Amino acid sequence: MAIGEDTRSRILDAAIEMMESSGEASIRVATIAAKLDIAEPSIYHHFTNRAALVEEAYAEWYWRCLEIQVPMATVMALVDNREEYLSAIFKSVTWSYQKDRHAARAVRITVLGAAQRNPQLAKTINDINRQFLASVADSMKEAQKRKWVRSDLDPMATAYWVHGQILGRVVAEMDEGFVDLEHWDALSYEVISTILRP
Amino acid sequence: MSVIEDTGEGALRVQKIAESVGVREPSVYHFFKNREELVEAAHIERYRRSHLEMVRPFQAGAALADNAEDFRRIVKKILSLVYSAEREDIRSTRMSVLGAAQTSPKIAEAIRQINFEVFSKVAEVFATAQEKNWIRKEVDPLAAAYWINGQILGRVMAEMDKERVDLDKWNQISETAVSYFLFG
Repeated sequence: MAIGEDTRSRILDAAIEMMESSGEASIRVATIAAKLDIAEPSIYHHFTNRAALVEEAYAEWYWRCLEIQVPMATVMALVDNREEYLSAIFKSVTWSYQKDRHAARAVRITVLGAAQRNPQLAKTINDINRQFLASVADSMKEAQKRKWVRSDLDPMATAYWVHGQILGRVVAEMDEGFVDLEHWDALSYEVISTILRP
Repeated sequence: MSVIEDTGEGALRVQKIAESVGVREPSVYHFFKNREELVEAAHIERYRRSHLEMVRPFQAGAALADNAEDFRRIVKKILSLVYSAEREDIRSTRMSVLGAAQTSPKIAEAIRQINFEVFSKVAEVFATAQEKNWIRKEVDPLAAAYWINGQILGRVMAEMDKERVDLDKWNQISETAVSYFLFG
């Protein structure tokens, strides 16, 4: 890795860390410079301005939390029949429901939320969503060919719908103790299975 | 709040708000420390109203339902209102406020209170319908209220990408899911 690239990713790491603890507004270029022991202008060498830095930090943060998802292409190579496929889809959703994954789920809402008021960020996040969900949609098409999934479902719409379950879970978790999350999960799986099964 | 709705957040000038409610500018600052705090409060209030706007017709519709079929029709009707094109902006506000809540304990607490208030109301309607055998017994009313709200957030993500996602098809999937969820 080039030295320049290393500095760039350290700057992004520092910005993400600030967002994690106190939100976007807490990002200060001067603080990052001091923390990394570099001069402020070298931050502007990598990012045109603070807004550009914030945007790239959001995108990087979002991408990292999607990366931990089970890659669907791999899943398709491992499954041999309908039950195995449906269970793999469940697992890819449950995977993100794990307790220690809460931060990753919350990041999605944070970044999607920020994108609602920032058209440029929305475009970047959209590209990431497309790229990620296109692989889920591809697996869905393949599963339809094999008659594992209902043939009348639109693969991309279905991929977005299944993924949307994860966002709803975050809101239920915000009110921990108030909502029975196990029950929520059981219902969620049941519905996903009913939607997909031919 | 109506200033934000008409002209966007950037246009929100404290002086204008003071004028529109007929008070002097310093009185606005008596309630809100600064412009940021005012914007934040306005978004939270918009979040609350956006829920109540849909919860009230749902309560009314359910109260008027005579049988399971009526109730199903009401659910379908409310869902189509919730997903309507006119409400795209308010759906986006929900996501935006929830996003801000993830890194601000203060906003998170305000949101928790609103969620509790509105989802309890929805859960009450579900519980009543359950007593009448209009929705399935296994469903916990409160979990159902949260789950259905989650559908709306999924819709926001899908409609960010209108070119690639067929939203009518997405709606069909969601409608089938909600229907199965409640009625089996």
